[in-house]
Parts: sequence; structure tokens; C-alpha cells
Amino acid sequence: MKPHMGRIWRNRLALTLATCSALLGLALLFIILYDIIRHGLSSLNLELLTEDPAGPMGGGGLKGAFLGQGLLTLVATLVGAPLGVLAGTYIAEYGRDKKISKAFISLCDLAMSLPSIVVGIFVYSLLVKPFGGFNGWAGAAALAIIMIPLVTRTTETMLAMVPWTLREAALALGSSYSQVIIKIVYRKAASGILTGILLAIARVAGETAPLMFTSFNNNHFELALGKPVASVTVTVFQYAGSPYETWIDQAWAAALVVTVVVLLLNILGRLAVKWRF
Amino acid sequence: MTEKGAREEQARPNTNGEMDNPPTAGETKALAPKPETPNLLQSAKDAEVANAPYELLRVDKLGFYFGENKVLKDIELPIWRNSITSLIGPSGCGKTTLLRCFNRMHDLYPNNHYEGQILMEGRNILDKNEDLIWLRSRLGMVFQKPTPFPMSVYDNIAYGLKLKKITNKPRVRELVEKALRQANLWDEVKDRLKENALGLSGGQQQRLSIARSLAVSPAVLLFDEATSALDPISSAKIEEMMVELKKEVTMVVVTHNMQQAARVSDYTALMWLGSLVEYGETTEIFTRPKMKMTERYVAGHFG
Repeated sequence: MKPHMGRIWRNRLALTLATCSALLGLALLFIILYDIIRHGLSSLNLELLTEDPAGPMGGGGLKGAFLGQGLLTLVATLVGAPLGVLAGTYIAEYGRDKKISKAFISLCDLAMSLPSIVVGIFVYSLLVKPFGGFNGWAGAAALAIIMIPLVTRTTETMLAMVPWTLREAALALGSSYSQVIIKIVYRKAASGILTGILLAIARVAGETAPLMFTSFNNNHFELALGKPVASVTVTVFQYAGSPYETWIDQAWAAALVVTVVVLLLNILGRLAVKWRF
Repeated sequence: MTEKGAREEQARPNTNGEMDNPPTAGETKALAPKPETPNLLQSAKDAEVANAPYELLRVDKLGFYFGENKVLKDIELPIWRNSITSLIGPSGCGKTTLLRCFNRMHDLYPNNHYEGQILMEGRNILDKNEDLIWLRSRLGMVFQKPTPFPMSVYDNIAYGLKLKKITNKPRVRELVEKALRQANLWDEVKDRLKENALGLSGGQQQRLSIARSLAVSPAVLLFDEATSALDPISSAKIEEMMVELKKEVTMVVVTHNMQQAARVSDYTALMWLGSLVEYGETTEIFTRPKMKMTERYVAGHFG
């Protein structure tokens, strides 16, 4: 045996192990997808999106839950995305050389790995208990809190990737720093920041736990944020645990819709990276 | 092309104040130097003076510190108007540091300070209360690597004009064209003004950066090894342009390329370890230097 055969075999072993692990992971993902599609597709119909809920006897849809989830996500994005972008801007630009920026980055990483149910309970104690009941604002706030560190971190990373000479060049023309950030740096990092926001939306659009303690659920059509607001994820959670066949089927169909939406948001996010101004 | 430029301009949202700006009023105000700076071209008599050699900048006992580290030591140097002055010297000698003192680029970073003065028409531009935005619009800078902004060719040039509150569309178009012509770039880009500037070649991007600086009509243009990242043909185009530009702007050039210094500059300053070794007319420096070190450096014996 040649002296380097040992290395070749070790390489092959490592390659095999890595490939098998990758295949296993992918296989699990596809089994989940396949299962959702198989169950969901059979009960998927237009009424699911356009009708109000009916009883366990069948029929009806989850209009309120879909619109509610959309509304909660929208409000969360309108609050969370700008805050995240601004926080990221502080860390990458104004606080660039300061110790506090490093502390912020660590805190962001910590917040990102926080179980979302913890956020739910936190918002419950802050916006539900003192106001005497579940409400949509609390749900949106919980989603926004999950979004902020995600958006902050991607914004900060994207801004840091913009070369310094570009800022110097703009400053050397007589711009103020804020003009440089808004007109040049944001423009350069725009696609990256947009991707970060889209991925953050995709992340919160499928959240259940933070909504269970905040916006809760509503069997009636309700889009006033002062009241409990229905959401698809919480409805899926409740329907899937119910004894009624029809509700379980609807839960599968709703889960399929949520999965597809999240998948599309992710794909859109990946595509946005390549988008240029 | 003008049509193209016009459409470009309309596509851009919110150029505010375009209606209440009579064609030139708003912009002449913005272009005029601040009252405390004497305007030498005000009268015919002054125009005569304008052609005479005139010290636009005077570096006076300049010292500069990064933290406690003194990297520039007692620099004394005149910069004559409408001339090209090269700063040469081995790497780390402080020539770029000196160049970045002129437009106060160092102020962007913490823990450094200046000593002494740089006088621009009698005004100390190292003053703590100096208006840096105004100063940097008077002393433009071109960097080693091209720095096109992520926008169209046209918008790159118009960016600086907007900073000067020049928003009258025909005037902006006129100034964009003028700047691109000055930088010898007009013929190459006149049909692609709306295209992203990142699509230009390296040499074109560098001339775009120069045109962008010229558009705000600075008094001085500072070149920080502006041709070192370019191929010989692109460098030659820029050198040619620099010589033409002398009519309108004073230039200070940091270069590692001795031939370039000899070719384009009127005055040359050799620096070594943060000190000025010798300053003089370029022909003197390259043919009859007073210092032994200068002779050895320009002959390529060290550095």
C-alpha cells in the first residue's frame, strides 16, 4: 500500500459521512413537505381563504385567520423593520468604533436565539395583563420583538460590507455623514437589507407560540387590533388538536398555505440579494 | 443626449425647489466662496493678478499625530495655484497622511490631531471651527481605487451638485456634461448616462470619480495614487487630463510613480519618515537636487 493511501481513505470516509448527513437532512425536509402537501392539497379550496369558520360539521374557511395573520405580520414589519434598520445603522456607522456596538451585537445574537415563547410571555405581562385581555397589538408587538434583532443583525452586516473608501469619497465631496448613509451606503446595501427584512418576515409569519399568549385567537372575523385577532398558526394548533376530522383537514390545508407563503418569502429573499439598483 | 439627460432628470423624484429657482440665482450663490475668502476673479484688475504665480495653500509648521505617534514633522510647503505639485517618497513616509490633512479626512477617525497651520488664502483650514463640509467641497479628492457610487453615471456627477443645492435641471445637465468633458470621459459615456456606473471599466470609473469631484468646481484636487490601480493607457489618459485641468484647478498628487511625477508636475516634494526632505521645481528636483538623499531617491537607489 502506498504511504498516502491512509489519507485517501480518511478523505473518502469524511466525504461519505458528510454526504449522508446532508442527504438525511434534506430527506427529512422533503418528507415533511411531502406530508403537508399530501394531506393539505386534498382539503385545499378557495373557501378556505374566503369563508368564515363553520362548525365541526364541515365547510367554511379561515378567512379571518389568514387576514389576521397578514395584518399582525404587516404591523410587526412596519414597526420592527425600521427599528431594526436604524439599530443596525447605529451599530455599523455611528457606533462603529465604540464598545457599546459590540455589546449590542452580542445582545442581538442572544435575542435571536431566545425561544419565541419567552417573547410571548414577556409581551403577555407587558401588553395583555395590564390591559385586561388578549389583543392584536400585543401579537404584533411580539412578532416585532422577534424581528428587530434579525433585521438589526443583517443590516449591520450588510452596511459593514460597504467599502470605506465609498464613504470617504462621498464625504470628500462635502456631504454630511447622514447624507452619505442615506444616499450612498443604504443604496449600496439595499438588496442585502431587503433580503434581511424578507427573511425576518418569513421567520415571524410562521410563529405560533408568541401569538398564543398575545393576540390569542378569534372564531369571529375580527381585524380590530384592540381585540383578540385570529391567526392561521394558532388556528392550526387548535384545529389539529381537535377531535373533528373536518377541522384536522382544514388545519392541514392551512399549514400548507403558510408553508408555501414562507417558502415564497424565502425564495424572494434569496432573489433580492442579486437585485441591483 | 441632452434629451436622454432630461428624461433621466425627470425620472428622479423630488428635486425640490426647482420651480422657485430662477435659472442661475440659487446656484451662483452656492458656488461663490464664503465671504471671508477673497475672490480673486472679481474684477479685470484681479484677473491680471490671477495669472501671476500665487500661493493658494501654505503648509506652515504642520505636525500630525496618530495618537501619541508623530507621523508628520514640521512640514513647510507652498502649493502654487494652477500648478501640479507631486508628493513623492517611499511607502510610509507620510505623503498620503499629508494629503489627507488638506481636506481634513483625518477628522473622520478618532485619536489624532494636527499641529501648526495650513493656510488657504490666509485662512487656517486646520482650525477646529472650520466648516468641513465647505472645505471638502473646495478641496476635492480622488482615491487610489475608483469609487463610483451605486447609481447611474449621470447621478454620480449630479450627486455633488445636489449637495451644493444646484437643482435647476438644464443647469445640472450642463454642469454634468462640462465635468465629464473636463475628465475626458464625455465621448465614452454620452450614450450611457443612465447606465449604472459600476458597469464602466476601471479607468472610466476613475475618470468618473474625477469628473464627480470637478463638478462641484473645487479650488484644489487631491490625487491619492489615483492612477496606481490602472493600466498604462488609462493612466496616460488621466495624466493628459491633469495637464489640461491646470487652467482651472490646482492639484496635489501623491504618487509612487517617479516618471509620472516628472512628467506631470510643476513642483515636487520628497518626503521621508514624516519629514519634508526637499521641495522645488520638478526639473530641479529631478536634475539638480540640492540634497544627496533626493538624488539617490529619484535615481531609484532606495524606496
